[in-house]
Parts: sequence; C-alpha cells; structure tokens
Amino acid sequence: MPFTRRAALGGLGALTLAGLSHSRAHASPDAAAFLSAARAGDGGYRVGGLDGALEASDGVAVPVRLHALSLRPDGGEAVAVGRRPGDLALVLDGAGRTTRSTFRASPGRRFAGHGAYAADGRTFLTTEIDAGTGEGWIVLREPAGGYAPRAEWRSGGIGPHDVASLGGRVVVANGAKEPKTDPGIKSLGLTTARSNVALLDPATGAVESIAETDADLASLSLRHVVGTADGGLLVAAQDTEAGARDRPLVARLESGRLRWFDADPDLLTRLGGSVCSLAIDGSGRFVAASGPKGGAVVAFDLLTNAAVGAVSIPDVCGLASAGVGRFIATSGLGEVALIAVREDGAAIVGRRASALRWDNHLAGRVG
Amino acid sequence: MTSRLRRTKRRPFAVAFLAAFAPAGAALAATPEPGPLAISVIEQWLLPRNDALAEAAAVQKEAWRAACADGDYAGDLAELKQRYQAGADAWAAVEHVTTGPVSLSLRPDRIFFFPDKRNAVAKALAELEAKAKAGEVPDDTFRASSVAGQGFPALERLLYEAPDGEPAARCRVGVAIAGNLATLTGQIRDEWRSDAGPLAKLKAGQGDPVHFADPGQAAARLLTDLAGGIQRDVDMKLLPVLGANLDAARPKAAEGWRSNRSARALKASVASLAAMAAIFAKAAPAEIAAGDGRAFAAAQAAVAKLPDDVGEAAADPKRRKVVEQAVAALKVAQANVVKDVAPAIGVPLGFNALDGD
Repeated sequence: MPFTRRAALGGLGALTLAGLSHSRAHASPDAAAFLSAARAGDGGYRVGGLDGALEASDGVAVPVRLHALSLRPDGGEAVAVGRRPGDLALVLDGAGRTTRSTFRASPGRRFAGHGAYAADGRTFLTTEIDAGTGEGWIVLREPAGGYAPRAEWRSGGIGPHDVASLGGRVVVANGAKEPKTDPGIKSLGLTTARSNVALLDPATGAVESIAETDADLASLSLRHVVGTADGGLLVAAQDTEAGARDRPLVARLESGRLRWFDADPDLLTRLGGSVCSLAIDGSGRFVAASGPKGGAVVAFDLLTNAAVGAVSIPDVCGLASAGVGRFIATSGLGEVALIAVREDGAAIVGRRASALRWDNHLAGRVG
Repeated sequence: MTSRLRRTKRRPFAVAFLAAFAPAGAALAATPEPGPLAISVIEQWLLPRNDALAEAAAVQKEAWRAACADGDYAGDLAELKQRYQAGADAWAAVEHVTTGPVSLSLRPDRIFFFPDKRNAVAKALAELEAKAKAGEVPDDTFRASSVAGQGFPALERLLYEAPDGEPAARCRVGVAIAGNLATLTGQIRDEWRSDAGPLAKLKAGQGDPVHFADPGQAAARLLTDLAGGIQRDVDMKLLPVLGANLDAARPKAAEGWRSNRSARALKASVASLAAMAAIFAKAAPAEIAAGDGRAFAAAQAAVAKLPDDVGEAAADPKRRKVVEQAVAALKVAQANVVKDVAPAIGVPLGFNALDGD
C-alpha cells in the first residue's frame, strides 16, 4: 500500500503531537512550542506562536518585517533579526510576547534575517552584509551586555544569510547573490561571486574550509544550513536563474565539498527552484525542504540521500521538527500542516488555519 | 509497502505563483464570507468541469475498447484522435487546480505529465509496451509503472507518432491508459461530491483534514489556484518556448505540439480561468468586477491570436510578437486577480513565494 494522505490519516488519527507536553515542561510554562514571524489580518508585523495542537497565538507586535527567530538554548529569550536589508534586531522574551530590547547592525551593514546562539547561550552571532560591497561579516555579540558586539570575523564570502553554531564550528551560508535587488542589497544583485558554505573556528574566526558551488550550479545561492544527528551539515539553495527548477537544491557537506542529493530530479522540481527552510525530524533520519515557489515540501531520507515524497502546501516556508517522522510546516496563507514522513512517502496528516500568516522561518522548541 | 512513490514523478509546478500581500484593511467592511464564496466556485465552476472531464474520459475509454476489439487501432485513428482532443480540452480546463481530491496520489502527473524535459513519457511508454507484448497489463502493474506513461501525453504518442511495434501490444497499452484516465477523473468527480467529501464539509461550515483547514482556507487555496493557473500558462507553456530571445526559442518545449494542441490547450485553459475569475469577481464591488472582466477578455483575445504552431511562431521573427503579447496580456490578468480582486474580496494570497529567501 502506498503511503498516501488518506492512509496516513487512517493510521495516525489525532493531530496532537505525542511527546510535546513532556518537552514543554522544560520551557517556560506558557511558552508556545513554535515561534515564527507573522503577519496579522490587518497587515501588521508580529510574532506568532503555535502550541502542540497547532493552535496559533498572537505574540508581540513589531515595527519591522522579521525573518527567522532564534531561541536561546534555555528557552528564556529569543532574538528576531530583521529581514534583509533591515538593520534592526529585537530581543524578545522566550514566548515571543514582549520586546525586551533592540540592537542594530554595525554601521554601513545590513542584517540578513538570521542569527544564532552559541550552545552555551553566552554568545549571539549575527550575519551582516556590507551595504556597499556585499562582503560578509559574522558579528559576535554579548547577550548579557545588551547584545553589544564583542568581535567580528569575515564570513568567508559575499552576502551571508544563515549562520549556525554546529558541531564545534560556526557555519555560514554565504548566499552571494539574490535574484532581485529591490528591496535588497544592490551589490548582491550584481555580483558574479559564487555562493559557498564556510566553516569558521569558533574561537578565532579563522576560515577552516569553504565549499563553493561548481560552475554548472553557479546560479545557486546557498541560504540555509542545518545540522544532522550524526554531526553532519546540510545546506539548502535557491536558484537565482528565473524559472529554473531542475538544479539540485539540497546538499550535504562532505570533506569540504558539496555533495548534492541524488534525488529523483522530477520530485525535486516540485520545489520550484527554491528552498526556503530545512528541518530534520526527531529521529534524525529525514530532512524536509520547503519550496514556496513550487508550493511543496519535499522530504529526503538521509540513509539513502533520496527524496521519498512531497506534499503540496502553497506558499510554504516555515518548517520545524515535530518529533519522529513528523514536521510542522507553515505558510503565508496562514496554513499550519503536520507532515508525516516515512521511507516510502510523505503525507499531510493534519492541518489548521490561522488568522496569522506565517512569514518565512519557524523556530521549534522540540526536536 | 511498495516503493511506488519513489518511482513516480512530480506535480510539475503545483502553484508557482503566490501574490503580494493584500493592502491592509482594503475593503474589509464589505468582504464576502469565504465559505459560501468557495462553495460557489466549487459548485458553479469546478464540479461541472470535473463532470465534463470524467465524461470525456469515459467516452474515450469506450472508444479505445471498441477500436481495439480487433487488436489494431490503426483503422480508428480519426475517432480516437477526436476523443483525445476532447479529453485533453476538458483537462486543460481544470489542470491548474491543486485543491481537493486531485491533489492526492499524484493524480495530476498521472493524468497529464508535463513538462517532460527528460523524455520520461517515451521511456515509460516503451516499458509498458514491452510488458504488453505478453498480454494484458494487470491494473496493479500499470499503476506501479512510471506516472509519465499513465496519461494523456502517452496516449498522444500512440496516436500521433508513426506506429512502431506490435499493434496488439500498443492496443493493450492504449486501452490501459484510457481506462486509467477514466478511473482517475471519475474518482476526482466522485470524491468532491461524496457525502464525506470536502464540499460536504465546507457546506457544514467545517474544514477538511486533508484538503483545507477551514472555509477561509478553501477560498484562499482556490484563489491561489486561479492566480497560479495564469502563472502556469505563462511559465510552463509560453516562456520556455520563447526562451530569453529569438535564438533561444525552443519550439519543441510547447505543450502538445505532436497533436497540434499547443494553442488549443492554452485557449481552453484561459477560457476556464476567465470563468473561474468571474465567480470570484462577482463577490467584489461592481467596478472591480468590471475591471476583472476586461482583463480576462483581453487575455482571451490575445491567446485567441496564437497560431496553432505556437512553438514555431516563437522561433519566427515575424510571428514571435504574437506569443509575447499573449504573455503580456496574461500577466495583466494575473495582476488584476492579485492586486484588485483578492483585496476587494478579503481573500489572502501568500507572500513567501515572492521573496526569494
């Protein structure tokens, strides 16, 4: 029997996420299980939360469009770095309900919507882009000191986007280019630089390795990174060539090189040439990639590096693990979907509509 | 568990287009209820077209069965081609719908696999013909084969390419494909109308666990299908043919060039999109509805001027402009849906797809 949505529904039933209540006990008692940037019905920007039953709740209203939220490892605080080309970041309580403070990008630089806490929560990293040249910087900030800069390093490329502190390294996706410049950063619309993933020494910022796209994939912009359960790294790309959707978009970093998933190319095209988010499920076996342009989430089996299935979710971007073989996806149409993935397919097994419309990335407390 | 999904191909371009955020508060005071609006679109626009598709596919199935009673359809080509054209027209009217039962089990790919950049249809058809040499292809075997060989484009090869291979085997494959199309389109028709189906849920004011979370989502998804449908015609059927410039035109990227359907399919699609748009527009203030009518009339007029050989025209300096004008008119119609109709009726379209982040 193939793994269809109907079959999945029959076998899985309830929408509530098993195990979530236990995990939530570690967070502040009223914290949402997931946080995301959102837009309200009146068009205003705000933070939104999702609980274990996928019910949405309003978080704090914010003055600028946000992109990704980073939760401090203890769950007690979160940072929302302004979307490119903004230069404002907001420090929120861990439930995303109040703004505690704000900080700015360094003079002459722009944020790219992403930041990351180091594992001990005592350092916060932001990616910053030189507004004139597109050169990339990683700025180390002190959460205990109002997120003031403590040091800064070269990001190892142009137009850095996502940054993560993974496996004892700082990982940067240097996106290099963007398909349009308005409202963006002009130099990124003009550059011929190749996109890369750079690994930096977390103590010194020294560039340990740079994995660049090959010539035949030069139109790809590597944007987002995620760590696998076994210490590996996955990276997602968007194709800046208009209409192109047959290049690979998800790669594993192996020995300093990008090893693109040898997935069924026709399944891959459902992503529409762009991956917005990556997430790994609670078992560590599956990775999901969201493609807003294709209106689909494609799931890959990390044991085989093969795409195992896809589900249709128009305008999807946000993705987070919801346990073993489970993902939560959110869309700009206000849809929240629970996706089940197995080695032979993927299916939507529950969905909720929310008044909030979900803007880009979803941050989860459970893995 | 089979590995069927691994073998199968994609929904080519589910919904590429998602629109700009509606201006805050636009016409909120007078917006229609999304549930009844979605029901109107489904009952007045979608269900009749699903019925027509299922009927055309059923007639086509019987035609193949009759034509192959003697083991060779060569004498019945004219009749079968006519049935093919009618069935493909009916599919063109609903091919952009991603909402509801069509979204299950890779049905759109099974019905009409396009675009076919890697010649998957020919490979799948060759595999099926090889299997059919020994006798009837069992249903299970057929359903587990590549989706590229299961629908209209594979039938098109059987009907419009020079015959090659054993007539009896080709007959068995044709009958199997036509039967599959009748089954799939009948399922879509029946599942929408089922007492436990998504329309019944919508009428009870409920969401559907598979297809849309609540009535508001149903309206938003259908409107997104409309906007995405126009984008689909532009991005999949016209721009790849045009290429970046005259030298880069690719005539063989046109849909249905073998069966001379390239323009005909677009006309059927745009006529259906206009009818769908009109139902949404009816819920908007009169001046918005009138603007919508004008935009879609212009798009239909521009598409009506396309010559049958759209692909060749794109590569012809004297005729290329007609193809470009169709693109331009379709984009105007799409902008009308996104910028005028959607805000006026308070139905949201997404924004993540636009951002490139």
